[in-house]
Amino acid sequence: MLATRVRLSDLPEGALATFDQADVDLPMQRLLGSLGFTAACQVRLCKSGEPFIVRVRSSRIGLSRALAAAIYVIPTNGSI
Amino acid sequence: MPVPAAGGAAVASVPAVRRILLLGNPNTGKTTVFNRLCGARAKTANFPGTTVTFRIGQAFLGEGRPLQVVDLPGLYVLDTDADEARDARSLLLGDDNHRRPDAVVVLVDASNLVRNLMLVGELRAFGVPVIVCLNMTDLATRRGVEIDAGRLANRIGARVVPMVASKGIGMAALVHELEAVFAAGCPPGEPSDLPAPGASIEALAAWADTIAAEVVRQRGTLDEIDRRTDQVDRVVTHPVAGTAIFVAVMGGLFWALFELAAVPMDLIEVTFGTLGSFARAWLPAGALQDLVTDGVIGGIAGTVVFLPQIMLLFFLISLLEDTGYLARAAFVNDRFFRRFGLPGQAFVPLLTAHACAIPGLMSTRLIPDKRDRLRAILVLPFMSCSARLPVYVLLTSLLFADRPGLAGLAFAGAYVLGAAAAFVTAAVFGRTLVRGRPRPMVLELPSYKRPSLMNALFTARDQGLSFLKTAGTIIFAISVVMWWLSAYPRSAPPADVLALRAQASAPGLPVDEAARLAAEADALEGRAAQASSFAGRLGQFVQPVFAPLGFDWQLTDAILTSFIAREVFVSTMSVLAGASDTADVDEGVIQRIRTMTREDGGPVFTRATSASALVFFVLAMQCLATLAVTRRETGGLKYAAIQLGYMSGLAWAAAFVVYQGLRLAGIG
Repeated sequence: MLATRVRLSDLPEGALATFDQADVDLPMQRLLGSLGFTAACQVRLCKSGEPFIVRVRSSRIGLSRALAAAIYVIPTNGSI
Repeated sequence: MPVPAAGGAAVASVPAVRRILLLGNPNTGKTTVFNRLCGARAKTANFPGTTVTFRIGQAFLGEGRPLQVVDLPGLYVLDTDADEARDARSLLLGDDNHRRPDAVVVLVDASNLVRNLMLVGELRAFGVPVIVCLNMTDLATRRGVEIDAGRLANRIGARVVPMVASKGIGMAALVHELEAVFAAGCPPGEPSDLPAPGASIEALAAWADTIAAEVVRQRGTLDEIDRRTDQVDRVVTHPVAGTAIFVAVMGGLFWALFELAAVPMDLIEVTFGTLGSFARAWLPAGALQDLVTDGVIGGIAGTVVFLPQIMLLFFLISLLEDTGYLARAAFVNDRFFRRFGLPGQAFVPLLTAHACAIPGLMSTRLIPDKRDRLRAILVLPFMSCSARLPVYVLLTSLLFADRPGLAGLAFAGAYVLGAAAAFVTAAVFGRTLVRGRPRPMVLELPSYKRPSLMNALFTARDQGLSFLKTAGTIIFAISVVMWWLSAYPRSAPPADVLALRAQASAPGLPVDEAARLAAEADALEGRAAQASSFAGRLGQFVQPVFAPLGFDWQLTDAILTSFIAREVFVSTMSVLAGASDTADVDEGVIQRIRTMTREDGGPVFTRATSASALVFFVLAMQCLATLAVTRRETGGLKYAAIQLGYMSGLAWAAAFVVYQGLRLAGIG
């Protein structure tokens, strides 16, 4: 599974993926978790660039480029 | 985190006034529900020892029974180190002498059930009856979301009220459910799969996912439904289009701030001027009359005059926030702000500081990272507040006497210089005093929706009252002290004043001539009184410090008295110029100030002195009230002292460079 993971910032717009992990400090991990980034949850990249906009479950979250590059996801197919 | 026992027991004894907490994620409509329940019967308060604010108001149940409603700041989870979460836990547990609530009303965004249910899952462990308001069901329907409310109530073991709070739909049902909870507590038969007390975010999310899968029916895919939001977001966060939109929105906001607020501000000045005249007419001449008219009425007027701008600003910010645009604007700014060590969220405080630094300092609370917030607090007073405006008008008029175009440019330049100083200083502090890069930004982007006029009105009212309470008391106290320093000790009228008065009262003198001489005597007496006052003496004592900037003792005195409030500079200069004591910058006053002379007979205001004074006013920390609020917001004197030190130091150095540079260039 680890071999297929990519940075969220490397996903093409409109792509679906499942959240794998975030390479950030603990407070940021907790903040991401409280915003819905939990193990294997589905995310959709709505917009790339600064800011990256993703849909996590039903929430729309804006992320700075640095943060999007620190989040690892596993691309999937389909729509949510 | 202290973990209570699970369970939703009814309250044992019945208190006279029931108390409920409003909780929920940000942007779920909590404020709307609070305003609908309490209307104007509300006030803002602080948790003791923290900067976390909450609102407390009174609502009514059936037969007019009172209900106390506490509205807490929006939060995603309770189990974090954030101040808001800690205070919410403390209230829920009844710690720190807080009275435990009789029920908690949780606002849940119906179109985003899973993330919102995580908070409900945490709350159920606190043993307080919970009512879930399934808000914004209209938006949810538009996103193709259908929720079986009855089934949801059974699965979470709490009462559920579908509502559209912005339209008042569901409010009566909420009151009805509150009555039912107070009468009977939680529904019997608690679900067996509630998250355990202290459950992890992962466990809470898994529980919420399971429930959502059972109670939510999604029509169509969100990809199709959110396409329009995607398109709008692409434009408003675009590097070029997004920035242009932001500039246009802020331009409109500033226009409104300075144009629309001008009328009530003028009205306030006229009202207090009239009040002062009445007091002067009714009270016997002497110290009491001066204290009431100049100290008390002048001090209150100096505070209240900012109210229209502050209330209008928060009214407009609230409208913008409700639309969902502000979160996007934060990202647009983040690109630029980040280079200087400030987060995108700092733009609202920096914007607010253009009306007054004090509400700006208070609104830095929305910056999540403490070091980011500290940097914003330290540089925020560089932004040109309204109190600097009359000073800018006076000094730019003196600088470019007959060239209004250049004066206008200098005026705009003063604003740009203040903002530039703020950003550069933030970058320097990020590498020295408050080291670190701003935390990478992550923000929920709320759905676009029509703003609530009611929320905006109540926000403006609350912020206005909060300003009067926190800033008003400080400004008022400082005004009285500074008035005393400017008015005492009293000195006997100089000989030339007595001579002029004697001439004015000479028999046979035409009435016009007598009036002219009397006015001249009054002006001379005012000037002499100012010179011999404590503030005047201090001005003369510290003048050598300001001499390299081109300031004589009169200009130094005016700068010292402007610590009352910056615009007092104008009235002090006016007194020293021998005009009446006025804060209005009209052409007559400017002309008299322009012709003021130094002890050696040279002009007080050369072009170099005017430019140097303007730069000094842009950069200097001349507001004791701001320092007092900085001290409170940072929890000690240290950062207030640093703020005073570097701002004053920078102002002196920059004014020195300008004055000496212009003189070297032959511009005297």
